Amino acid sequence: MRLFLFELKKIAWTKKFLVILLILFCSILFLFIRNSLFADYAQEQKNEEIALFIETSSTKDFNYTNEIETIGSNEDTERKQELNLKVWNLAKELRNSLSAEDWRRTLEIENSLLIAIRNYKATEEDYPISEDEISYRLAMNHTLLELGIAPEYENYSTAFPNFLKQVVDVFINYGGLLIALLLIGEIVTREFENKSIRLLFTLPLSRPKLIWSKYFSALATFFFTFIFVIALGMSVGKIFGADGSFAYPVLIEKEGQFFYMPTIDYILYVILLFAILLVFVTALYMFYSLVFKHLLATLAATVATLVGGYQLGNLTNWAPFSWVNPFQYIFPIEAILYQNNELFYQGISVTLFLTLLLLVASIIRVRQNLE
Amino acid sequence: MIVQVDNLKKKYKKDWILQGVQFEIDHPQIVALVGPNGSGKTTLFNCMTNLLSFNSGTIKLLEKDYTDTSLFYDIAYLQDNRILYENLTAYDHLKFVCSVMKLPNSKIIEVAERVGMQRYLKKRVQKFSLGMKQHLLLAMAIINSPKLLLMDEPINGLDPTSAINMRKILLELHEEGTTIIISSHNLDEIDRLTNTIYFMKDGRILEESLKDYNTKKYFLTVNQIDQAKAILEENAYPVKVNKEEQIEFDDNHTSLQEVISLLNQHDILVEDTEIIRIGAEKRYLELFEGTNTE
Repeated sequence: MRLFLFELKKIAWTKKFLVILLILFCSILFLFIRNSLFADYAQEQKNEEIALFIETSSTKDFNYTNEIETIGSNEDTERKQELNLKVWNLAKELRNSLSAEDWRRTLEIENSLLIAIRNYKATEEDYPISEDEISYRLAMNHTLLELGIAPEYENYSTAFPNFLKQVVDVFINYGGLLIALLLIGEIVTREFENKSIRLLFTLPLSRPKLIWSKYFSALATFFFTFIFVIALGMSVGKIFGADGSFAYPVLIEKEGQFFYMPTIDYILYVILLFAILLVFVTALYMFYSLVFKHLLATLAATVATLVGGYQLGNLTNWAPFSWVNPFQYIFPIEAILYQNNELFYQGISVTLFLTLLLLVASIIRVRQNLE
Repeated sequence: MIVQVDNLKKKYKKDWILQGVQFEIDHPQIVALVGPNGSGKTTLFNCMTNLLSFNSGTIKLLEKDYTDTSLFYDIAYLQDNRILYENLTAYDHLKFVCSVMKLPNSKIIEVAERVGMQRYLKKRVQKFSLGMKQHLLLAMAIINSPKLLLMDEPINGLDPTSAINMRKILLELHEEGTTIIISSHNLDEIDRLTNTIYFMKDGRILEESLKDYNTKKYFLTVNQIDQAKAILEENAYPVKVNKEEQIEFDDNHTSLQEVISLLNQHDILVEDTEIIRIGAEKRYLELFEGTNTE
């Protein structure tokens, strides 16, 4: 325990750690301010999209009319014009309903519009929205109507649950792993590089215990950082944001179909998978640091292993491979959102098993002498 | 037996750094390890403390196998200052060593006073001078009053006052029964500490007793240093004033009695006289003259 506490003290007083916390603090505040300022921008984007639909349908209708006048009546053209007209009318109706208070009515109109666009696209005509987007939005709108939850602009939300989800997503997608590697590097590899590990090796401390304490202090430091991010996201969201609902749906794609998961479950699962990833990456990094004893070499070997393993997983379409692939959680958010060939929990046991193997290998390695 | 090193061989890449090092220490004493850079002194220390593996040979310290980590309750290794954590204070370092050694925290103040580092106990190591770092390393090494103390270049970076203090502490530890193995390039200091010197050459130890090297060096502390120097020079005595503001000369051409008489005649008081053998330097030059130290 004393060694563990000493390790924590060493990292806690480094400039690097304090700078990381400061950057995270500023980033979360910036994200909230950005969401507050750009909420109108999201509405504008929605208006622009509807305006684009109206303009597209208007142009198409003009073209069909011309075609019929020039070439003469044609059943196919008339059918397309009819479908396009339906889209046009629904788009105008949606535009008018946006300012109304009744969000249910707006979602119903939007669903009708999306179905009309899908029917129109089925005639092999193009329209400025993809089939994937239509499916996603229809599924989301249906779920919101079913749950009775008003829609939010997810990327610009100031509602507490969605803002917290956004904070977790952004942290994990952009920099979470990098920050983890920096902190672990400071605790493990840096000691070999600047020889301070020799102090610990010439005290009456068993080397396996030393490895365990370094491992757990690296994890504790990172989890403290992660908890700091979550706590700050919660505080900012709760104090300055709107109430919102943790039941707000997050859509999960399974075998090409959409299912929903409440935001609270999503956040917990993402944290769980990221924690498992961290437990694994820390063990991998520790093993490499005992092999290379150099920060950059260790970092390069760790990144190469993770990227290589992830690519290998992508190349393999064999579904049972998910049970033995420890690299599938490198992007934990993807692992939850897209469960087409595998279920998100399938790789947990193999990842933990490999972590244990790496720790045993590290202990065997550290029993040997420093060269 | 305190130290038993038998036929120790260590190869690094294609070079043999240690080529059958062999020595024993059976009673508490101060042993100096002297040799040019690259002669294997640090490698020997690192092998003895299990920081480096070796190709063949055996090491026993205090009758235990050298890999036994419990040995470090009784052995201390003063290494180079890179082992210190720049962002922690001297107090943090000593507190950690105390907690590992299961010593009370009161030892921290005690050792800090002994080494003379109370003033900067709460300062971070990154603000330390080289000498301050050496003080901390010494404090960490002696805090548990070890039975065996290995010291790799401990005098590096110390100012004269600190060097004198370190010498005093080492002699005290020796009196208390600690065996000290010290490597240093400062042959004057070695002479002041011991006449048991292991010269290291080509990865081997040539055990030496310097009792046959009887040349002496005198250090006089006087009340009027400049005047004393001028008088001695006027009378053609080959003397110099060292960093510690002492009159320094050897007994090759000068008699101590003559010098003291001469100074007394001029009302200069000799406050202290220190006499050391200067065998280390003489023997070193015989063994290593012309050796490439790089």
